[in-house]
Amino acid sequence: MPPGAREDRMPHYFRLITNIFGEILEDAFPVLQSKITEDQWSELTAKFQAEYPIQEHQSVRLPREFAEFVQSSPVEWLKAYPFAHDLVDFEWLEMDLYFQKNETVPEHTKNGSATATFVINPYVQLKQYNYPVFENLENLQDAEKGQYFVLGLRRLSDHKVHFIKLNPLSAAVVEFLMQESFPSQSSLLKAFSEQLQVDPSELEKQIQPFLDQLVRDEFIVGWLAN
Amino acid sequence: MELSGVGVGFRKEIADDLFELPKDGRPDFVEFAPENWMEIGGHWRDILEKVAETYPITTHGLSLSIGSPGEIDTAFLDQLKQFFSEIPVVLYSEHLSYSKCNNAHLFDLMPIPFRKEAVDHIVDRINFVQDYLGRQLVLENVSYYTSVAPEMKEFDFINQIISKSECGLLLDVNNVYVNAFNHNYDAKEFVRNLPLDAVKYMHMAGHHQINEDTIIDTHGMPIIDQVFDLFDWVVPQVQPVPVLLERDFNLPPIEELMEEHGKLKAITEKHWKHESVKA
Repeated sequence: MPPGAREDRMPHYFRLITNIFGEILEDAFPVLQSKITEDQWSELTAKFQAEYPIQEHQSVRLPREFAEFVQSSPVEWLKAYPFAHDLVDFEWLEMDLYFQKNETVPEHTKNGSATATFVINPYVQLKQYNYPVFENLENLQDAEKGQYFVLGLRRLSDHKVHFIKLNPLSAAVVEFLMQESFPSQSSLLKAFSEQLQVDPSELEKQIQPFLDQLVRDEFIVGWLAN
Repeated sequence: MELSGVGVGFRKEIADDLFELPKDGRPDFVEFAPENWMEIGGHWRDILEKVAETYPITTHGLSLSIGSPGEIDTAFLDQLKQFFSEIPVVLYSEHLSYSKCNNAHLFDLMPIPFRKEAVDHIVDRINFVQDYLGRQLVLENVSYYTSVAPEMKEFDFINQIISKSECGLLLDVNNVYVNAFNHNYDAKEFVRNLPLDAVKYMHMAGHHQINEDTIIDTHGMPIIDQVFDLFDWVVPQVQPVPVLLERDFNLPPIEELMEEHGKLKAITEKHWKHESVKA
């Protein structure tokens, strides 16, 4: 007890801080909260509040630190929820994209040739999870461990966050487009036809529908204007 | 930039309502916490830019933690500077309290011990922040539920900090009422002992009495008559300054909020009419 402090008044501070933390974390992690028991949720959030030295001063970004906390396996019983690490990462991903600071998007056109450089949406994250935490949430407990890919993006047109389920090949395509300095359809086909040892024109037939979808979903926002 | 009149807190829940109010029925300015808007993109950035086009803006920060024993977070000050360069903010205010301790943010306002070493420490920090930001800091008398190791009265603490640092005072009249109730002192006597010539901004808010001797400063209820009365008594003793209706939670319909706004405006116009106002 701090010297000179009124013992009967100290619980008010504890309650106020706990309420603030509680509201932030309940808003940010509704799915995790629904998957564990009420007591487990209380224990986890209380432990976070008591033990984690929160660096974030913005309440909308505090959930990132809670996700990190959960991923550090702070309690033994989390092992009964093997999807928990992926789930908190995914629930934070939605907030992260939604609130991401605005970036300058290069001038672009709505059409481009095969060699024209794609302009990629700056508000994207590609994730690989061990559990399908972005779908079939009702049966997450029974899901098989595997390789699950999802692309999260915030659309420029309406600022809404969308998730696109990917297979390993489409995830590799997305990763290439995100990492390449001047990604284009032709550079993509060249790289993958060499890697996969397939004819580029055959590969184009397979990949084109996916590229069209990436344009519709605003992952590819356009082609670099000259 | 001159700022006058009575404003309301800009809250996301009432954003649309505030934009749809007719020009002659609007608050004179809006206030928000910069932490809730800085480095936020997408939909809410669009809203922020619309706010800046529609209303003069004051900011009331949450995490400067002027009373913390540790170092000032200059990375945070850089973010503030950047934010102030993007959005025209007339006034930056904060709390005379601390919200970060032992390298952890607490997301609430803790009471600073009313002690000489705290005064000296805080004055240094205020001067640093004012120099760094290139603007005056305006600090609020916070509500507190217990003092900690006090060796002076609260108003002496405030007086010393204001006089030694030349920061401004944000006089929160509801906080005066809450503290006077919670710590059993006379609210008017407290105000008489404040450096009223340093008042640059005022807040009015509601609170929640939870038992016979404790009020919690919730900002989630209408202002009670006794706080309006105290405000009516304080206003003529202070130069004309902007006044904010601080409602953060449990927001009523906009008509009800603006009714309360109207009551504050009537009091300020009664005492300050025809006087120019500077923030």
